[in-house]
Amino acid sequence: MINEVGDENVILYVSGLKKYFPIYGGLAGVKGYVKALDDVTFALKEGESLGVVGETGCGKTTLGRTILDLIEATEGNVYFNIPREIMRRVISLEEKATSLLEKGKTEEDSEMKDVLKELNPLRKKHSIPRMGGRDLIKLRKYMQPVFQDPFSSLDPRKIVREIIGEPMKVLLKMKTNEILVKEKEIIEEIGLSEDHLYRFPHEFSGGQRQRIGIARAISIEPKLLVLDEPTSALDVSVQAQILNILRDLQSRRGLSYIFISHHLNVIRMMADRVAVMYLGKIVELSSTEELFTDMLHPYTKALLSAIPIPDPEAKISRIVLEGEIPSPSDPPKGCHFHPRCPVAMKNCGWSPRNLSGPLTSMLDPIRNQEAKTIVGVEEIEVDEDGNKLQIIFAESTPVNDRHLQTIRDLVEKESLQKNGVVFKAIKEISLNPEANSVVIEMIQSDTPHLREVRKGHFVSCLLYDYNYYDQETSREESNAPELYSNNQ
Amino acid sequence: MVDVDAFKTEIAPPRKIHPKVEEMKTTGKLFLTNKLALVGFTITSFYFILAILDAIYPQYLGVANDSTYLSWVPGGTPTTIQPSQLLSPSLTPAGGWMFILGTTFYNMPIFPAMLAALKFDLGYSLAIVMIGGGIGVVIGVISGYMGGIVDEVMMRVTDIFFSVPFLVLAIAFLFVFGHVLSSVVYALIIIWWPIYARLTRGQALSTKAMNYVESARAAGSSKLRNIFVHVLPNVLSPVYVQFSLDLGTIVLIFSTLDFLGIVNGNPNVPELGSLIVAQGNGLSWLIAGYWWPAIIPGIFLLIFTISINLMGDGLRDVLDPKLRR
Amino acid sequence: MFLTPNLGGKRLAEINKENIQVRVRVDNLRTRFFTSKGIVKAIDNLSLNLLEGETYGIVGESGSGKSVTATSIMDLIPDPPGRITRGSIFIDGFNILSGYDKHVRIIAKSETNVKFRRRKRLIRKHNYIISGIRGKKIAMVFQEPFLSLNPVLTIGEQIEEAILLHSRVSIANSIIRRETMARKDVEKFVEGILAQPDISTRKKMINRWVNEFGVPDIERSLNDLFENSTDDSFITEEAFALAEAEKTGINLDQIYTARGYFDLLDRLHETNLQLIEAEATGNEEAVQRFRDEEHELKSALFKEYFSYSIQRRFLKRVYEKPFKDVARRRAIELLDLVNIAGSERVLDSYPHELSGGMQQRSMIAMALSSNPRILIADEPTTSLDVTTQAQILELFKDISRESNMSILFITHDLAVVAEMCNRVGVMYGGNLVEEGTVSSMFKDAKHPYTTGLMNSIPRAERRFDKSQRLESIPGTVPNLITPPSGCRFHPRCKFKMDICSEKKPKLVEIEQGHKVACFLYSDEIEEEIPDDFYVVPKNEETEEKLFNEAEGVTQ
Repeated sequence: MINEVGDENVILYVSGLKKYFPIYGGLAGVKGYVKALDDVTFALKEGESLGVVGETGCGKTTLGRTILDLIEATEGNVYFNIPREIMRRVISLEEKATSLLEKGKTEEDSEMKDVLKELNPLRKKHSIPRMGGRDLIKLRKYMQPVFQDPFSSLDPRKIVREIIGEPMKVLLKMKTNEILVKEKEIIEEIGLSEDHLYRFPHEFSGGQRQRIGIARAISIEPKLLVLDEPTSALDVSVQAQILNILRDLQSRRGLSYIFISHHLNVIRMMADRVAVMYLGKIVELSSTEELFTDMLHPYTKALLSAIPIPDPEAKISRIVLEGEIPSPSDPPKGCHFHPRCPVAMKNCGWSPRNLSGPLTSMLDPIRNQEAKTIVGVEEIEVDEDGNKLQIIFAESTPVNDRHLQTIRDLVEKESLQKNGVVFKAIKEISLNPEANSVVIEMIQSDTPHLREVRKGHFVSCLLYDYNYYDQETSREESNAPELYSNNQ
Repeated sequence: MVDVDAFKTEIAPPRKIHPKVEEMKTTGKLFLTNKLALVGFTITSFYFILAILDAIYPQYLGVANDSTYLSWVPGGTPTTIQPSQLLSPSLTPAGGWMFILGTTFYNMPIFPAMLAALKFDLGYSLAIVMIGGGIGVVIGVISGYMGGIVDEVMMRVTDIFFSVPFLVLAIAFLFVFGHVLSSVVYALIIIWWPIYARLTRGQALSTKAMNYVESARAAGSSKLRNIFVHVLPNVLSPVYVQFSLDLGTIVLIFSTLDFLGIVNGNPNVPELGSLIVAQGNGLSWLIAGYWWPAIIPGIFLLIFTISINLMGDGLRDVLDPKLRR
Repeated sequence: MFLTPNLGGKRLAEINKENIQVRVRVDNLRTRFFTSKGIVKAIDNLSLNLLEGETYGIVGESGSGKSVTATSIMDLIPDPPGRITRGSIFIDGFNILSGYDKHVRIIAKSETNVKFRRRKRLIRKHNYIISGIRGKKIAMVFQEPFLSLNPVLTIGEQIEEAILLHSRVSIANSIIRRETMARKDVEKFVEGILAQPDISTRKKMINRWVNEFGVPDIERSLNDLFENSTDDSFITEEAFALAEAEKTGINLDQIYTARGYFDLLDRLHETNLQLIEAEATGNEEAVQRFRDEEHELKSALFKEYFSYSIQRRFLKRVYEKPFKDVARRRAIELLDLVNIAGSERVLDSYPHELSGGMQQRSMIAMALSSNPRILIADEPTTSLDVTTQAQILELFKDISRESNMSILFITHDLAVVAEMCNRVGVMYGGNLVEEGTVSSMFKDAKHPYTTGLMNSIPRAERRFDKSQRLESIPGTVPNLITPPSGCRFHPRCKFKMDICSEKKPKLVEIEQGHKVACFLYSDEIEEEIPDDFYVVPKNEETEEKLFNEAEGVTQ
């Protein structure tokens, strides 16, 4: 990833960041985890704004908060505002460590040991999640958040003067009269007057409150602003004011932004690069122009095609996704997007539980006439760990080769149909006379990783990963093989 | 350089007084528009003024000091009297204006006795609410904000105190510390703080989730500073309401205990409950037709509790941000 | 007279223009909220028409009164503090606000000192009238599906309740038809189907027939039957056997009783509507006739009530079951209609178990439960994600295409309007400032507010340079307790003229089907009618002052 960074200064580097929220289940303790962030890696250049888009529950808000250390990260490292040479070293080491991990090397491995030997002290000293409180406070001067809801982001019992002055008072230890001078300067800058300093937040409109929030954040001259949906609660005309302010501030002060939003049009205006998130992972990361004109990931395609366009004559060819976003506490195997993906392949992560539904309907004689010969199916047992299913027959009907053959034929037929990819993920169908059942074993799925498929364009999709790309099953041949050859 | 002038600067009209003072003024105005609350407030403050006056100038109201509480009893020494010897309320009392409401046991005048009792009751009740409330609020806020193991431990401790039956504790304390009102006071403080801890913990939990607490953390504010600067002021409104209602409740509890005779009546420490009991020689005077020793202090107490509850309800309406904006 | 709309889009062009009916007509609507801080002038003289089969979009920012318009049309304004103080709303030609001003007398001594005198009897009657219209003729979908669903009831229970509320008579009829079905009914049906060669029409006819006769379970078998065979005696035999098997043999007496009772209720409501209409036109003879009819119906209902309620009290479960079964069946069909997969599972789940999109679909299903002709959608996709929003918008399009329903679509998102609507009205500060077809509006917006609004949206489909900036409208939405004088937009307007702060522009048609309220395009002034509930306190001093001012006396 260092190549993509080039000579410019990297101000923020996030590596393998994970945040798992535990789900408590009464007396049993922790029942499971909601994987709000799962292995997020990216770099942010100085003066750049990175847009983070995604739908509800994709972890974009958690990302912002974890970077600011408002939420404790479960794993991973965040490097912010460290000298250029150290940053470059850290990035190259972290990347090496990640690629070694992907190859299956453990910490015992000698190569890995070498990397960690140098990396661990650096992590301890510079990584935000591992930092002590005092070092962290020093860093807080350079990064500030702006939150979504202008009604809950300002303390209702404080007047604007106290609100704007708080970071200066606590972080910079400035004197009261100095703070006041600075406050007057800043409040003019965001388009309010001095008298507004002596008011309570509830006396302001949403847009004005958001401006106060911005004033507070920039009062200590930070280098990075994490903007968490700063305009989502505002009207369009007011949104335009705020967006203009943010752009002006950026060009005047050289701020870096992490701009989190679910409004893709706002992202297009504000961001230089965009990261698209789905269920806690970045699925695509590229420059804004390239993302909006030539996106690669199927999810991005669907997401962008869903944006309504304020032009009645515009022709939109819309990809309407089926189904709902899965719960982040129990995400699908492999690529998280595969159950909804219109171009999914057989190795995208199909697991027995995905197959049990289609299998049931395949064996249903009402829906499928040809299944009439198979009688006596008692239940379909899903063995998630063994990656297989068993069709268990009643004792009165012992299984035989005829059953096996019919099921094979049916699977063959189903796999050619629309949404039949899941049947292609079947590795072997065999008889198990002891349990009086037919065993369906599935192939091992592959997990996509964020790969650079073009210059500066990262995608996490098996379609674009030549190690895994499966020409036979992919239905989007027109696009993918070309990339496949490009990458060679 | 880009043109910065995204929009014209909006000018606010200047304000003469401090915004926090103005905020309090509007709160006051809102409170006064609620007529019932106003009545409650007036009567409650009247009671408080009476108690304070009695504490400062006892000589004008008839009771010089605690030890000489019975000094105006004819003869100076408490002697049990027959009900028929009681003076009934009269507009032109024989023994001076302090006898206006009649007399009760030992033939002492009801009016000054009630004032003295009020002084004690309100004083103790205020002490209990303030100490208990203080402890409870601090514990609740810390436990709610910190969460995790701190919260778990603090709340279990609170649960333990919650589960102690008040009456049993009070009786035990009376045995340990002697048959004085202050024993009940200790018992009540121990019983009372968990209520506040629970109340503020809930509030603190919801306040903690607000974005402004998070942005204060991003501004380098420490946990302790966050608790006391951002969370505490925002959880206090319901505490004030609880505070005002509890003042009345505790006075009532005192009277109940004394009525039941659990705090053995020391005539030198007057109490509204013991005045209401108003009996001597094992006779219930009320049944015998001598109504005033029981009814008059009873009404006095009733008015106080009703008015303090009215005031509390009014406070709740004013302080609830949902009803205000 | 309404203007003939020049409706954009292919579908509406097909409709014969002369026959387009006005489904909702709002005339000079005025809604006020009486709060402790003052009287909020939420809607001021709003007029609009919603035509048959069209989707009309209302756009505006928060506080522009778009949601209040919707709730006013549904007559769901919370009272207190809100109240419609003027105007009329015709739903299918019936003015739901007739006599509305008599229900409550408002006396406002000042902005904050307002007294109400309510006439409870009239209000109760009005609620009875409106509750029969609401849900049956006009339905609403809200912004927050989670808040509009009852958390302690399953989706199925809620939809069934909505169905039972309005369709008892038709359910009873279908049960009776099923139970009394004779061979000749089936023969007739089979004949009719066989005469129809087109397969999709056949399927529709079969669907209609099974619903009419309350045997929806055999629909699939019937379809198969007609596909596989053309021998009519065989089909009749088979179909009759299938239908016969569906008969449950329940006691029809109770169904008859229930039908009689609910039929009377419906008729009473209908008579009441006619009576109100007659009263409004002043037709004495008709008024007398409907009064008599109402009286008769009431006494009949009184008798029926006892037989019905006694039976129902003792046989509640037996009594409700056939109705509930049919309602459940219909609920499943409704959920299928709104594209919910696994409708039976969804029917038995609680709202919190569903995602936002699913909840909104269920809400739409509930709104569609009684086949309303008019649907009001108040920001139905605002709380949803963009991919889910795309799904829901498709659903709305399907509904409007298939059932020719009129939809009033309220949103703050111009892009959604561009995609969904035929006509659009732009609201600002409680007024309609511009109205026109979507194509003319997006090609050639007139009002400075509309153009400002359109230019302030960042566009996802266009490149945006770093140096480029968005056009924004300075200032904020006005406070409607003390709205700006004249044109309410003038303090934020680039083209402000002197007249703008003094007089209010009228909404005039400047092009075919395009209306604007702005002095840049027309000089017509809207006469401002002051609110009639203000009572000027009798004060000699003020009177003297007024007199002096009038005389021109200066001191």
